[in-house]
Amino acid sequence: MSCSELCSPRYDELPLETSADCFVCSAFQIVLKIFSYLGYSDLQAAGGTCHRWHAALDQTEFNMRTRVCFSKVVLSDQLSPVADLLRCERRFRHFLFEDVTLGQVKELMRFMGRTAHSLALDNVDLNDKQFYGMLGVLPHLHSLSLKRCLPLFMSGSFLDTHNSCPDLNDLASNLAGIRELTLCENQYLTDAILMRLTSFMPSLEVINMSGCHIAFHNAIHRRFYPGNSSSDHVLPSESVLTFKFILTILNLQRRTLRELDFSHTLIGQALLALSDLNLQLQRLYLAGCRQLNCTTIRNFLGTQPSLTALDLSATMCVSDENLAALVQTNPQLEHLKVNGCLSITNAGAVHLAKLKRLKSLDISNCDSITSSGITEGVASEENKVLQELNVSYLQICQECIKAIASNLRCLRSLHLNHCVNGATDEAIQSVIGQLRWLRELSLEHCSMLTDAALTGINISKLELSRKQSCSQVSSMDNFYPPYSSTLAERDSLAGSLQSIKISLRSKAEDEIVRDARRKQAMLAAYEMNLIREDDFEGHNIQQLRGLRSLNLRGCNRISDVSLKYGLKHVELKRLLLSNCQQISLLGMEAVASSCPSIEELDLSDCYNIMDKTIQVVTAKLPRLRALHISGCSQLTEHTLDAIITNCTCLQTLSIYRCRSMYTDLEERLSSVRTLRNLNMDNLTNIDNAEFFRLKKRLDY
Amino acid sequence: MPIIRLESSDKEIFDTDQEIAKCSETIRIALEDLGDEADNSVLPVPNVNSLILKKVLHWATYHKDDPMVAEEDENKEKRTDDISSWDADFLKVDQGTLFELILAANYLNIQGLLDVTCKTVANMIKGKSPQEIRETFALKNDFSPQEEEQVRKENEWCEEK
Repeated sequence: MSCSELCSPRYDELPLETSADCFVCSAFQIVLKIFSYLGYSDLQAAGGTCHRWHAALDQTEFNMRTRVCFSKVVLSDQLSPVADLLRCERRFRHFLFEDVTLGQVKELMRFMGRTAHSLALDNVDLNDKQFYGMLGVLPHLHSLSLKRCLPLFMSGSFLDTHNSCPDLNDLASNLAGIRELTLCENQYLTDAILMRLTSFMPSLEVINMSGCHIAFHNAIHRRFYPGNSSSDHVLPSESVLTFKFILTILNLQRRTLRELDFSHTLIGQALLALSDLNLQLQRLYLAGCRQLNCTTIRNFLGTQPSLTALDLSATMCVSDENLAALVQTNPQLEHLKVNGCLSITNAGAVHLAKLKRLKSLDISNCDSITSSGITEGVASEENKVLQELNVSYLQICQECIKAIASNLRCLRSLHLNHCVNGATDEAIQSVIGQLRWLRELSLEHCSMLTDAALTGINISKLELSRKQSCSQVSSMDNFYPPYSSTLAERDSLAGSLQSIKISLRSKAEDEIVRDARRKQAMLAAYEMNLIREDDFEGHNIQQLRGLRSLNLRGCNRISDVSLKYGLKHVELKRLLLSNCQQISLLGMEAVASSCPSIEELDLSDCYNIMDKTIQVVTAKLPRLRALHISGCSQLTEHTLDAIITNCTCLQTLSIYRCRSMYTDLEERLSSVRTLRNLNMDNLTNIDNAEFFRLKKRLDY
Repeated sequence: MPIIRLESSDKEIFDTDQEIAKCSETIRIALEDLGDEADNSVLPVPNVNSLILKKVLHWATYHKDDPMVAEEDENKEKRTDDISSWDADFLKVDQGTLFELILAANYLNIQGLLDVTCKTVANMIKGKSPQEIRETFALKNDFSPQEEEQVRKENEWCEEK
């Protein structure tokens, strides 16, 4: 039966076996509905199956999520990748060019102009004439971002109608549609340039000037604008970027402005000048603004009742009194970042419970906050609104983490990095048991965690059964204990294993350690056959079925048991296992089979990772985009072979301290065409010109 | 309780409680039109055969006390890991039946059943390579080698915003 026959209206006459092919063409809307449940990489895979499904992707929702990113290449109409882009039928909305060189790009601009809504340039070598040419053909632009574009602003006559710009009319009407302007980290930005640029954009909603060198000091104003009290009839300076002028620009935009980002600038009391403008901000980002003081920020926030997002991380202006005031003046807050605000204590933190709309909170790195700041604060009662919580580096206890788990059931993201004392097996078991909807769990350096935390395995029961079958193990007379980093840890490892204290400090120790690890690997393999289903009594991390990111860096008691029996997550994209010394091929093989969607994998400094492991991992993870294997000193050039053969979309590779891989590196890596970022040791002795050129290309 | 007699495409009659049948928007509107005459009258459902209609009604009966699903909240995350175990068992059927259920749920406009069946299909796609997806759904690869290369290149420089 052909597809067309099956697509007749009276499909009730179909046999029960309906092929998906026909199903697709008779129910396009249904296909779109199914697609709406898929993540981005899954959609790319689905779009690669056949023409119809590929065409189904060319619809608004997907195109809105897609960004074309050209990085570290030469852009030219005749060459890949631009030539390939021009052959596409899809309508792309967002474009990012980073570290690119522009050649002849007329066709590219025309192509982009049809549909581009946003353009971001990062460290692109372009001059003002190229800029005009570009913007002249982008009529639908809503968002423009110019980061670290040195040459662009170096020409003082940028956008100067009197000098170089002949016909700015096209440009003017295109720029008028821009709603979001980002100008971070540009060195030669001056008042004059900023004025001219924004004069073309009358209804800006978002202005981002983070990292710009803005002069706030009155002395500078006086130096460059001598003898003038009002800036009305003054020509903007061609030499500096002053806040005074930014203020006049903000004043012109005050009716439409909704988001301001002055992070990492010297803004201080000048912030108060903004209150006079009657702004109705929704989002305010002032991370790292160390010149802000408590009074200034409190007074300003009092004038912004519609604020939903606020970032004051790494500032000195957030005190307990300010937090108390904040919950009164800004009750609409949904996103709050106060990490690294060292003046906050528990007294201030408890007020945060009053923000009933708070969806995400980052309160990490606040040294004075302890358990009660959380248990009497945001985790004090049942809360179905909070979705993201970061309490990394806080001195919190096990009970605090259990309170988080039992009261904040709707959490999708939880960061407990370096909560060494609180993140016990019991605490993490309660997290896994109750925070069913987690997409992201970060437990970096929670070094007390064992396999019991992630799999619910009953370790003492297991050791009992091992003891009982000890007679079979007795042949391993010279068995050395598993690797552990401190003597105390070694002593605390319960069980039937004999504990031998090694006190040699010589080359011999290296050999002994290697020997121990080999035998431990053997034991692990043996153990795997001893583990049965009823050894698992607690919660298994498998329950977090939607998990997309798991960070276990430095959790060096986690072993292959967790990988083999715990990690079975079809949506897992990011897995960080650096410094987990006990993992090996056994565990990684299991992970690679059960977690096919992994795109980023960190196995740095995992001593037991061998060539075979990388071979298996790269073969089974077709979506791998970033691989970190720095410090895996046992890897050789066979690993490179595996990467070259198996990785079809690898963009980032970290191989610091993998000296045995560096032979012939340039020749080999140039065949990994998708590679953009190479992180490796800087070898002082560069013999090979090819290698040097490769490095140059990648270090663009 | 008022009964509506649903007739499948192969002329089989299913006597159904009207309240349960109303989980289908299509049927609910038809019942409204019928008004008082609805009780015990025959309503043809031409696009759904008896096997599928039976399953649909089985699902609807189990879910009859479900709260009304609110309007699609844009902020609500779309997840596929929240299928109840009863639904998961109910949907342990061959692919053909699964697709028939989707078509039926779509025609009869039963939001809950449509959601859970689409989620199930989405779960069959997640984590798979294009070739594996083709094998799962018996899709024919109609790309030429050049077209496939084009798609691969597109995926290389297209990313999520």
